[in-house]
Amino acid sequence: MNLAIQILSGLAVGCIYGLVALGFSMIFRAMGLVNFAQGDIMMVGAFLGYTAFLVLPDAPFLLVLLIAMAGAALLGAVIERLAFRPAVQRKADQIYLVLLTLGIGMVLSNGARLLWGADPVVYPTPLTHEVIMVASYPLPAVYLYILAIMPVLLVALHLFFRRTWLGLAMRGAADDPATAATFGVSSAAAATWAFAIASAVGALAGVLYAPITYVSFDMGIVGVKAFAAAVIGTLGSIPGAVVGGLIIGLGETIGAQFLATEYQDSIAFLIMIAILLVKPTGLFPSGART
Amino acid sequence: MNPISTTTTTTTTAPSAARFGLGAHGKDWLAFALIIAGFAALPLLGGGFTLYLGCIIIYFAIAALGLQIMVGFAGQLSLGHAAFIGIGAYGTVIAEQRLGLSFVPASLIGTLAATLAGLVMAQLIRLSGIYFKIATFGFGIIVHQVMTNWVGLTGGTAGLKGIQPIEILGFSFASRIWLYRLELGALVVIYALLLRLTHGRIGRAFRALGQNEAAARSIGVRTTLYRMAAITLGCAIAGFAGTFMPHVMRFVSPETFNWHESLVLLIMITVGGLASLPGAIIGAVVMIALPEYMRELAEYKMLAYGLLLIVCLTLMPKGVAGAVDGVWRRVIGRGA
Repeated sequence: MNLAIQILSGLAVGCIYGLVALGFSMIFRAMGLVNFAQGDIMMVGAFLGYTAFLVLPDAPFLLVLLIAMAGAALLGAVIERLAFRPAVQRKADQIYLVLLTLGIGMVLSNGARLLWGADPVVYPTPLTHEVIMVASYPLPAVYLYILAIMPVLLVALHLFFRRTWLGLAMRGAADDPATAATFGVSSAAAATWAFAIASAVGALAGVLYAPITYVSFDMGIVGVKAFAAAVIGTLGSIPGAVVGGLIIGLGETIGAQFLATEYQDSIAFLIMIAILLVKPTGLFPSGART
Repeated sequence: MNPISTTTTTTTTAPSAARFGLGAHGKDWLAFALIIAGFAALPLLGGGFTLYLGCIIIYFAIAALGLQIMVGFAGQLSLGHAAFIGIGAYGTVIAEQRLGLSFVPASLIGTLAATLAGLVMAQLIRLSGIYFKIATFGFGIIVHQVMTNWVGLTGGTAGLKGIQPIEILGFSFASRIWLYRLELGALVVIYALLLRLTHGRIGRAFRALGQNEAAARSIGVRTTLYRMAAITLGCAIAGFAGTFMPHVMRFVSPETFNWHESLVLLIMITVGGLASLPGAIIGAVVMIALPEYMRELAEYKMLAYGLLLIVCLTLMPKGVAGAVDGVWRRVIGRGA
């Protein structure tokens, strides 16, 4: 395969990792919490999109994307309210919170297995099989969608966090909950919003990733690599999450050439561990509380 | 050293003597005696399947004890612990089959391999807090991929079969009851050692580390050293537990050591109760025995595990051991 095409596909998959990594970073910044269920929320998002396609066979891709994002946002908010808020208010230990996210991930993935079955499904959309020719090499069309949507989303998030009241309130609550409270910003409400937005972005990643791969209850494992991406780019940093995702995506496609392909899943962690040993808090300046 | 001398030093030097003082020691040894008596009585309950389950429970209980020290006491969360059980298991089988060694030296090699791997992983503690957790996760994934893909050594996904029964000094532990007794002996030794450890100076340092690392450093605990020690110890014990595993299952294959198994181990110590040695064993019993007796619900097993974990963390943060302890205290309180 042509190297340029490989780089392009590496970048596209890297964008998916980056999108899931964004969710990790947002929740970490808001609550100082690593949400290990993020990958499973992406999986649920992909299945929500699948269901939307089945119910509305003629719906445009964008509408399906929005439905999945809204559904996931609701799920994220519910998870925050029911599971995390009581634990955070009890000032539970970090270990309890991490284990809680692991438990939620297990419930989501195995719940999805009961709801949608154990067999992987393929998105019933023309996009799944659409191939375009780039310099006489075939490239799945969905890669271009991903590469186009990513910058749009980044600009939207940037504007949201700098220009809107809600975005500014969330940043305030994340950086200094006590001061934010005196301005009437509840850090608990900000955490709910962070979960909702992170889940919506996760669902976006899931729906975009679905045409590239199969959708199955265990695809949340992608979240693991996304996590490595978030760590490389420093947890809590939004540009860092994206850059980390691209590094992992490129590293995987290029690394698979030199290493045996069976070890492809290890590459993300080898990159991560190598970078952490040199820069123990990741490549970007941290915007997060510790 | 006898237990009484450690007791006095604890009560005079520990900052929270009331919590870890005289009473707690006696209670911990009582719990130890009760649990071991329970395991010793298990063969009376039934043969075949019960014993087989008992064998599985014991090696998980040993591994969970190690993880409890590392996570529950010292606060060093590992998300790849199953990998170390795997290193112990593969190390033992490979030493037996390739080098023709008998169980004792092979088991030593397996445990040593896991210890060394743990020592390598412990180098990652330069990474603070959450970054270390992720590194343990990555470590587990990498070890699992090596097990799956180094076909020449590990047999790949098919794993290794043809495992011979354990033989020590000419005595064969081929029968299930003798294998069970051997494992129980190992559990007694590990449990007793860890009980002594948690009541001693190292145990207090681990606890201080787990509760507040910065505070521990400020009162002179050499946190880096103790963190590394806790991690290496946890991994070594996991590896030791792993040496029994192939002899119970009669095969080793990579999927027994994947990341779900690491999660199951973490759920064990959480459900049983973090920072409680009996909790680790209770957790192993609950997590292994329950699903085995509900075979027809196998599809729901992981879902049930997840729900169990969430419920325990929200309603019963101290686990089963904590709940039992609470009832015990209430009973004592009424009597007084």
